[in-house]
Amino acid sequence: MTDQNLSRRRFLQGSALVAGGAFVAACAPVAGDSGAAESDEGESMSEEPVELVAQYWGTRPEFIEDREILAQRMTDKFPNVTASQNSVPGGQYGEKVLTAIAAGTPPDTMQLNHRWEPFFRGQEALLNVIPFADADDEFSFDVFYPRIIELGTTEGQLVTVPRGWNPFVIYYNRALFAEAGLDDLPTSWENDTWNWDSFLETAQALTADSDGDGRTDVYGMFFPYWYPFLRLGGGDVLSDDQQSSGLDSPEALAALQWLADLRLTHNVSPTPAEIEGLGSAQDLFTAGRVAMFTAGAWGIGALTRVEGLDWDVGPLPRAAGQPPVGYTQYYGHGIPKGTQSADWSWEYLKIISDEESNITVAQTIGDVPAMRHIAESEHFAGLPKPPTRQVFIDSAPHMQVWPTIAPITEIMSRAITPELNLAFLGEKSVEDAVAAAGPQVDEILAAFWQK
Amino acid sequence: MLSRQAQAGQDADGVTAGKRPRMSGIARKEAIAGYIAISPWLLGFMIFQLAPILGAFYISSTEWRILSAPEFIGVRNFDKLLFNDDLFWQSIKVTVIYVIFRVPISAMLSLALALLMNQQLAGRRLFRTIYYLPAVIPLVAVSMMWIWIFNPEYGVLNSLIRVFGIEGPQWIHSSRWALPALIIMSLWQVGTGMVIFLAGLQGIPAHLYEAATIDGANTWQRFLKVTLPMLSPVVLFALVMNVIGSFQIFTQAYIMTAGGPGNATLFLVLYIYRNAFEWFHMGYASALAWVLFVVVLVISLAMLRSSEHWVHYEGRVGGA
Repeated sequence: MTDQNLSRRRFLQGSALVAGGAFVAACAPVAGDSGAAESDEGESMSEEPVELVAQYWGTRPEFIEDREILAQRMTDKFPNVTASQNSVPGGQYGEKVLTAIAAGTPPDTMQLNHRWEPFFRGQEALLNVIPFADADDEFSFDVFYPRIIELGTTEGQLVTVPRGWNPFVIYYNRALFAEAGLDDLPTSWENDTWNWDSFLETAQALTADSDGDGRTDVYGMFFPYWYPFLRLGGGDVLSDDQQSSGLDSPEALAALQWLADLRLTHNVSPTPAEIEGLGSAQDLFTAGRVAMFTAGAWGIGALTRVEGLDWDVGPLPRAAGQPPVGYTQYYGHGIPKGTQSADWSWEYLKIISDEESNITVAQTIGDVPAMRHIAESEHFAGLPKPPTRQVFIDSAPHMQVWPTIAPITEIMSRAITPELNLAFLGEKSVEDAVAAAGPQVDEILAAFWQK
Repeated sequence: MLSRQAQAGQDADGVTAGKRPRMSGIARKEAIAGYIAISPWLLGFMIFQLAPILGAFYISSTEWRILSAPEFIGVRNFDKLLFNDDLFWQSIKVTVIYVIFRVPISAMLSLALALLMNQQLAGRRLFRTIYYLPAVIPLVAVSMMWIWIFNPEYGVLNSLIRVFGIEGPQWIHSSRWALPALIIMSLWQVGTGMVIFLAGLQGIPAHLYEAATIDGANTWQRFLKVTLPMLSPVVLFALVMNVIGSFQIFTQAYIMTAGGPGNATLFLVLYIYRNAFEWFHMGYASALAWVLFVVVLVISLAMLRSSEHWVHYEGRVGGA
């Protein structure tokens, strides 16, 4: 039954592609081979008026402005093209894009990240961009961090052209470090003296009840994300063959226990109740209530705007006997199947991911650009704040990402997170939480692999 | 339209209508005019409610992830949720507990408030407004406010409890207290029920109380023998609406607890939402929605059926 449906869908998608290709072929002097890309600046493409829509999530003013510029640049390059953006709040992204694709009116390009790439790829809703790149002399994947391309490629298919990445680091408050008599954090990811033991000692030295009322006023560290630490400790949520839960491995159990202990035994990290209503990790950090926290490069933009805050970044601490792990979340853009013209989508995608766009990522948005030479240039590495920006870039050789299996969101939010939250609240032991999550993870995986 | 009416009128004259008593031409015309008059609502109902409900029933027998065509799988979704999904039963459990506690407690509080507000008190208009006010504040804003009230460290509630030398619970940060917290929070909106009861109370004729007083009934007896029976149709209405509304609890859990800690506040509608819009199992979500529909329907019918024994309709001959 599934096969029948799939083949029908493929047939429809194929028809749409063929129809799109035929349209382009009819209008263009030179037809592309089976809808793949043209190479000569789109000169062979239709001169007919075309309207293109790029789909994004997030509606912050700087995002909207960036996307308007990208659309304008597309129109400048191809005068017959009216390019625009469609930006929706993050929470509505999946519904919005899914319904648009299902209705037969997909956007021409769409934003993708660790959350959405596995899902839409699992739905076979995205085109492989490699053939477009191969057919296009203007474009080369060599300018991007090779590890991002490598991690994003599954079974010879790549669906996302990366634009930026967010390596996770430790943000720390230098003033609080100085008060506690601590040196600045090391900057090398390979340095094994910056490990979980020294991290805990540092956090303990920073944790303080400054007014003596019996309540902690400054917490040494805050971890809004447990996943990077799981990876640092050598564990993962899935087994290596992705057939079952991996949380019951000794490494995973030890890492989760260590995290729970930070909060419940060592009291260096606040419980959700203690910080409720006080804002995000970043807000707590800015207010001086938290001395260290983990986040991606997105912290740079917000923290730079805070006047008088003396902060810097350091690498994630290594776990004993484990290699350094540069956990990162990358994002980029892809082409949904069934767009009006995949060639036009590719042209738009190229602008969204080009050098100028990467410079915007570095300077305006504050993430690390996916293009290596831009990241390492004055546009990112050369900026003054924080002084040790190199830490972000140096994580590249150790890059690791969120699991790429299609049902990962369901695995996390249905099976794992509710149980781990109980463990981090101290209502359940880590072993019990992992034991309760395991069968649920296995069940979701079994249903997935059955297809 | 006119021609249709005319045609219908002709039919009415010419056709014998089986067992039913034959409608006169005028009655027929009136009936048709009636249907035409309600047709905007009827069409709206059929297009925007009935069709989606029936559509959801079809979808509930499929596996549908939106992009691929729905795949017919018969009753497998229902089979899974009944026999193979602990989270479904967890969501039923917390929803039912919520309904069982919330409905009677809020009904009693609403009634008590309505009785109080029905007295000749100074400033009662002001108090009525104050009690009703929470009902008009958007639930999202209410939820944000209650997050602060329930804050174990700095919240108003635990600060009050601390006055008595007791350390309050962790409320929404405890899998044991999160559900009671949301029940307590729901009582903040008893003003809606109060207004309905108040309207009912004011519809009770004063002569009934006068007669009861002359017969020597005391306040309590007047309440039991006059107020309650006369109010019973309103009580029925309020209870049915309250039960339906309580089964649909979503916003608070979505905003305040995200269904947690653990799955302590994973209400059925939240679980439906997650299946549909987080994990995109539309077929399964539709099956869950139908279960909710059937549960609410059965309970509502049971309440209406039971009402014969305890609801007093003044106008009815030989009523209870």
